[in-house]
Amino acid sequence: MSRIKSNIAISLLLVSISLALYFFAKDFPGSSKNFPIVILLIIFVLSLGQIIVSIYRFKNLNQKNFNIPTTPLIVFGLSFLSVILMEYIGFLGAFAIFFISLLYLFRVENKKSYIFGAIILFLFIFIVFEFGLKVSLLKMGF
Amino acid sequence: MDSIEILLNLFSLANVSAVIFGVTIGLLIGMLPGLTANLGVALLLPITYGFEPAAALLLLVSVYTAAIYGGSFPAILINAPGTSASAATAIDGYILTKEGKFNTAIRVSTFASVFGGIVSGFALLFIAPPLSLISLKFGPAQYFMLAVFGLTIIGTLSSGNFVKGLIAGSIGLFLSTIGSDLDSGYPRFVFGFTGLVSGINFVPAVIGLFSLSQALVLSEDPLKTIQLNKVKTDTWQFLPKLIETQKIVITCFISSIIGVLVGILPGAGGDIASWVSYNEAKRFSKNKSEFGKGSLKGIAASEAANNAVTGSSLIPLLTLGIPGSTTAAILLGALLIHGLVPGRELFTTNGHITYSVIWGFIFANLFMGFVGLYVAKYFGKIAKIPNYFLVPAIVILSVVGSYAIGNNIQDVYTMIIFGLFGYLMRKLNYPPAPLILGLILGPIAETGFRQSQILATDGVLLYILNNNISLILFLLTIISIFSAIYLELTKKINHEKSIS
Repeated sequence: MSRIKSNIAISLLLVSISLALYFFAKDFPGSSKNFPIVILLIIFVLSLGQIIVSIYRFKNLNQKNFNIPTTPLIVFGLSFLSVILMEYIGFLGAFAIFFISLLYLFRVENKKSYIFGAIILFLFIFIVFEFGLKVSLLKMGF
Repeated sequence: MDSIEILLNLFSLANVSAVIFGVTIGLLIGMLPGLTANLGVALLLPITYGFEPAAALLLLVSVYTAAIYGGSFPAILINAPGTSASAATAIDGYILTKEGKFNTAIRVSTFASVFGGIVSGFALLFIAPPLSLISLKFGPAQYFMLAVFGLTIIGTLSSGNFVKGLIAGSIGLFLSTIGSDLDSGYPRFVFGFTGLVSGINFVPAVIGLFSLSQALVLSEDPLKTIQLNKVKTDTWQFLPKLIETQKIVITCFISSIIGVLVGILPGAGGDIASWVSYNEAKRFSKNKSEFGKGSLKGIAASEAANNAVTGSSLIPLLTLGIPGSTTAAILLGALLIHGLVPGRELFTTNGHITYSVIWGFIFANLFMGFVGLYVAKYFGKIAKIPNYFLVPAIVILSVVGSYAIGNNIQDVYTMIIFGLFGYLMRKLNYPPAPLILGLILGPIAETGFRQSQILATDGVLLYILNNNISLILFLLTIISIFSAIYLELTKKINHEKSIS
């Protein structure tokens, strides 16, 4: 998808969401609806403006290709899964799995230094948070 | 305020440790291209929860100023500015490195950065207290106009994407309305999620938007490691030579003043200050042709100006609660977390904290110079941290940091969601900083507007503008918009000139 097409798609999404939320906010009692309604209308108008500008540019500009690479999305997915896992197996277990998953995802060649670095990082975080800030990482998530 | 009390407070073990730790981490972050001062401050924000307010703020401002200075190292050494504020430094700095004068360039950059930082510290010390008196005269109308003025920063934080910046800011304003209405208690946009009733927590949102999203950006190229060519360098000398100092001291002074003035303007950051100063140094130089060919004055102008912004951008933050930069917006969160409200109270009731932080900021700049010159010798090794290691390190620190806010897993989910949101925003060219500003200024604007509605007898707009402070803020709003456009254009023109 080109960047301009993605601009139009995102703006259309924002137009739809702001419109839906506008009708939802209309039922709020008293003055609690005023501010959100004004803001939603601003988002609606700006997104509409963005669509118009994008359509104008669509005709006049060379379109650059736009894509979102898969690796960051996988890293995000793994981070999210680790947080969920944390609730079952704790912080240390969940993020040990996270580190090992990245080791294979990134195809790290220097595995020894990677694992050594991971241990140092865990120890640093553990000391700072567990003893310095009294945040119990062992109970984290449970 | 008793100066002995301030000194004792400043040199307490906790405060000195905070400065040392902050400067070291800030330098490290600034030195690594791709990591920014915003990321550093956002990442360390949760670590400061257990600290005394002065130590917490000292840690964060030390990270801020040291990260800006640290950005000059890769700019000089490998022509890859660690932060956008050091882009102008690379022009002459890299040429000196290629000539084998890396040490000279670093010495000049260090002297100028420390000079700029100290000047901005004194500006903060002398300008902020009298300016804070104005905040005593603020009522709902003035607070509403103040929030509107603050929102004009959105344009300048949008770096060329004005409409997208406004959309991002509006989304931030909208997100600030989620949760219980302060007047009626009605749960707005909660959709059955009890976790949303208390609203969106600001800190995990900041960590997600700036830290986790940066980790996702770095993961696009996980094997990237900055490869340094072996640099031939002149004999290592720790202190600047007298002849170098004489050559650049006036440039440092003028550039620091420019940096202070640019920093006070909301939204105009270190990058704008460094380009404007570089241009002015060149314009008034007797030897214009040396610029772009390894000029010491070129490096000094850029570095003095970008570090002079760090202190002065705190002036509107501490006095009126208006953050002058993205980092200042995150620092506003830090102030609020520690129960400190910007305004006159910061300089009276909480004066012992504020003055300790300001003096500590000056001390941090001095300390930064010593550490910087020392680690410069070993810089090559530090810069070799590959992305595949930075990514999990940032992710884990973000998770632990957001959990530490209130030992609450809900905050971790908020951070993760904002992380993805921030990444998609970056990919789609929507700047994340305006969203944070909207999130901060939303409640101020809404409360001010609703209270003005109650107090107004002849229409709310008339009520809001019917006083001098609101009118001045209205004028400042207009000036802010146009000065932002002017400064952005100047930056672009100077950048194009320097390339050609």
